[in-house]
Amino acid sequence: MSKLIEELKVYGDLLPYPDFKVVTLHPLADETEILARLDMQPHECISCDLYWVFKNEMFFVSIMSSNQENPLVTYLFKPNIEHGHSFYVVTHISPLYMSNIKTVLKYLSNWIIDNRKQLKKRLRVKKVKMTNKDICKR
Amino acid sequence: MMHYTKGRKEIVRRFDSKANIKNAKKKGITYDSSKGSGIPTATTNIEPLCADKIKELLGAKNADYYMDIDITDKPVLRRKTKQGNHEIVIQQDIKPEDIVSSGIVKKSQKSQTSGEE
Repeated sequence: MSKLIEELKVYGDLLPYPDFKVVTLHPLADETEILARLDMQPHECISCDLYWVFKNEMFFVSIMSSNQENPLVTYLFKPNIEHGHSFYVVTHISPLYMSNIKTVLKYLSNWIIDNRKQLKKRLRVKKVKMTNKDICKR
Repeated sequence: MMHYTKGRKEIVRRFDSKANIKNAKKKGITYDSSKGSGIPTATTNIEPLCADKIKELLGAKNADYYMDIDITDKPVLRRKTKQGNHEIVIQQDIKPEDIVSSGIVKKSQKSQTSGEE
């Protein structure tokens, strides 16, 4: 686990969540200092990719705010690459705040726990449509 | 926000593994809107030096090799990373002929970037 955390830290600082080991690659609407440095406004925070260590695996999660697409959550596994697990989340919520990231990770944690046996067995490329619900909406 | 690069030639740089670059040059890269927001790339200001530094700057999973892609007239999403680098997410298939050059990322103590942030 500690090796994975070290690998995770290559991408930046961990978010201050004791429950989640996560590094976001794009700024969020409530990260005011970072937005000021990047000369960005909160409403521009409509997408965020992140790396997340959970249950001895590293996951890549991409979250996109879009009113032109229907809400969606998909899981993709690529067996031939290191850390080949990824999730894609489309939400109507905009902009994205830290609390939205937390809500998404809670949903994904439950899904991983419920599907952990199948996840370990995977040997081929696999795409799973998990839900059409907007998981950012509580 | 979605943009098109209509009317002007634009080249972007993607960092990836040797196998993925080889595959892209042979078959291209397919964009599937249900798998993600697109194919992330960076500006060509990011020099192909020091894979670890590039991973840190761009969040790339693998940065051992790179390819330059012509995205003229392709729909793209433009965003900034927390590190202040411009990211261009291509929302269309990349054909082998769109790849204008490629190469290895050299080992270096320090990656060189210019004109970012």
